[in-house]
Amino acid sequence: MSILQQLKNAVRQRSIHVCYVNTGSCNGCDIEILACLAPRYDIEQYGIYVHNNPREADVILVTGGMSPQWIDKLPDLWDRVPEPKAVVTIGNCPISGCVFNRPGKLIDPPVSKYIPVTAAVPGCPPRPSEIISAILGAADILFKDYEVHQKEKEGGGQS
Amino acid sequence: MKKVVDVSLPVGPIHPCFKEPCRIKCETRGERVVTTEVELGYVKKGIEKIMIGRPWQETIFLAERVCGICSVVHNTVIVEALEKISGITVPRRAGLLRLILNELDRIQSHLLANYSYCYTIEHETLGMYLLNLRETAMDSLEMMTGTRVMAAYVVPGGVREDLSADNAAKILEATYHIEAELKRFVRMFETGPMIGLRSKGIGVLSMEDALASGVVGPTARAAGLSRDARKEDPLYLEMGWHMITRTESDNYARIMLRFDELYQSLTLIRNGIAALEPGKIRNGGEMKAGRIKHTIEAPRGDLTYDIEIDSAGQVVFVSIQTPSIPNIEVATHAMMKNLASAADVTSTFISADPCIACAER
Amino acid sequence: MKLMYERDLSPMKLTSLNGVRQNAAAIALSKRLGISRQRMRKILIAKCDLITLENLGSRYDAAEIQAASDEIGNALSLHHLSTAAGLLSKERADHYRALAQEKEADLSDIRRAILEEIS
Ligand code: SF4
Repeated sequence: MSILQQLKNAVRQRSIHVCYVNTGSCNGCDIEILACLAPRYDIEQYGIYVHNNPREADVILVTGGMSPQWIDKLPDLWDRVPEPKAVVTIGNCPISGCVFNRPGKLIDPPVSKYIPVTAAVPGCPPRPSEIISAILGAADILFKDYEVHQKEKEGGGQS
Repeated sequence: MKKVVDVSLPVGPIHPCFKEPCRIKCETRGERVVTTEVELGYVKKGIEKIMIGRPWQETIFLAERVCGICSVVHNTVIVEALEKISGITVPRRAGLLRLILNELDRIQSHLLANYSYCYTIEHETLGMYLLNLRETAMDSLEMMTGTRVMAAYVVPGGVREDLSADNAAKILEATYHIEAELKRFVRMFETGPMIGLRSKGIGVLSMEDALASGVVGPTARAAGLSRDARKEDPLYLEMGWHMITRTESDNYARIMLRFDELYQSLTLIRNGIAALEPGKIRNGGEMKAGRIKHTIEAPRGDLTYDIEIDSAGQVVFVSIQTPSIPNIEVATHAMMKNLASAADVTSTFISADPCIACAER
Repeated sequence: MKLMYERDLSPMKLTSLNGVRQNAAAIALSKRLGISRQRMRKILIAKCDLITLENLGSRYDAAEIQAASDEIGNALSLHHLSTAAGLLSKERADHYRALAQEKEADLSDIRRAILEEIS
């Protein structure tokens, strides 16, 4: 492995920028994400920063079950996030629509229909500790040796 | 809305200061904000439509998920409405436990609101202190109900679980801890010169606008209107509740009013725990058909459920009037009118404690 | 350039107007003005933003209280149009009030003028 790659790995491990997108949740999951910021859980000690700006994000946290307004905007937003990137869905809503997936609904789950989802944290809502461990777990697999994997993928495609 | 000037500044829907998606379009002339317009619909779930035609047992869980921040109060109001329809009485111990739980919920909601404001005016230190204090309140909530959010603790006829003397003592201890810490933080907020600069005299809501828009909750009380549904609740009056109002009606007044209410909530919890006597926590009864309109004071203002169920126990009509609707409306249309700087748009908006999930349901 | 956020919000506004309280207020407004419910909805959707529509119920109630002590305002629905729905500006409302007071004018004429202005 090149030194450059090692450097990239070391840097990426300690700086994961997070943006959360509420696509029609009930707020329950959002406040649990906010609670991660509290000194009790202290998400920044792991090098995770919640900026809420898609253009500098590495990990997108999606809550909620896709309300009609988001159906065309979420893929657009996903395009604007720089590589490498990942989506982690929080709560039952993005997986199944939770209690809102009933006759007369407006939402259209699951979120994985619209953008590729890396990991999902079930729960209504999940605890802050679960959210942090999910982000850390997903980021490790995704961002380590990202360029090497990318090259392998391209090479595999050509041959 | 008509275009007044040609520079329009959109804020949102994904914005570092907003917890929820919402888009404010500001028409500006130089730095001055002339008019604003709000675009919603990002979290519309149609809960009222889903509720119709479903048995009442399910609507309790649906009502909880109208808003995650104040899930306890939505749970309480729909259960109390159902009890009123069928004439089910609640034992005194259960009533007191409900009061304690609702006040704990108010504490965490107000702390979250004040955290958001401090974060928005870039005073992150104070914001983090408040967020940490909120965890103490969440611990008490968890001790009482078994989970942090969405507890479904209030059930028709009473409450789901009893509070042991041990846990009551722990909650009592938590209230003293919160009070001691809060005194420090309130002093920081009151005397911080930069906080004063960014809060005093900004986002003023005139009495005329307040009356015309039907504003409720802390936003109304900070404008000098005494609107609070708790004044008609005998249990609250017995526990020593009194109306708190302020007159300045700017961002500073709204945040300070929430701090004042926190002290009051702590006292109410203490009085409630002191008045607890051993006894039943749940009464039985039978569901009947009928229609009722029930109002309760949520952390953000009057919350009204207008609900009708038929003899089979199905909901045939429901209308939820949440406090956030008038509050957001007045924050964007009245408080932001003629704001001196575009930088104050977000802080003025957050000071009214908007909850988009409530407003759109 | 593809504008991601600037798009037609009418379906969303219609969903908001279909809420129980909002619908009741819209029907009451249309009765006051003597026009059909559909036309009233069209006017509201064209002129108001989403949060005004959501809050139509409580604003209408507040306007009723104001109008109770104001005969001309009540007859011309001035309060309902300016404070409740925001369709008329304060100045225009005062202008119509002055017209009505001035020359014992025919109220139905003024009503027609108001309707023309808002639609
Ligand atoms: S999973 Fe539950 S808590 Fe989370 S947004 Fe959905 S309903 Fe709310």
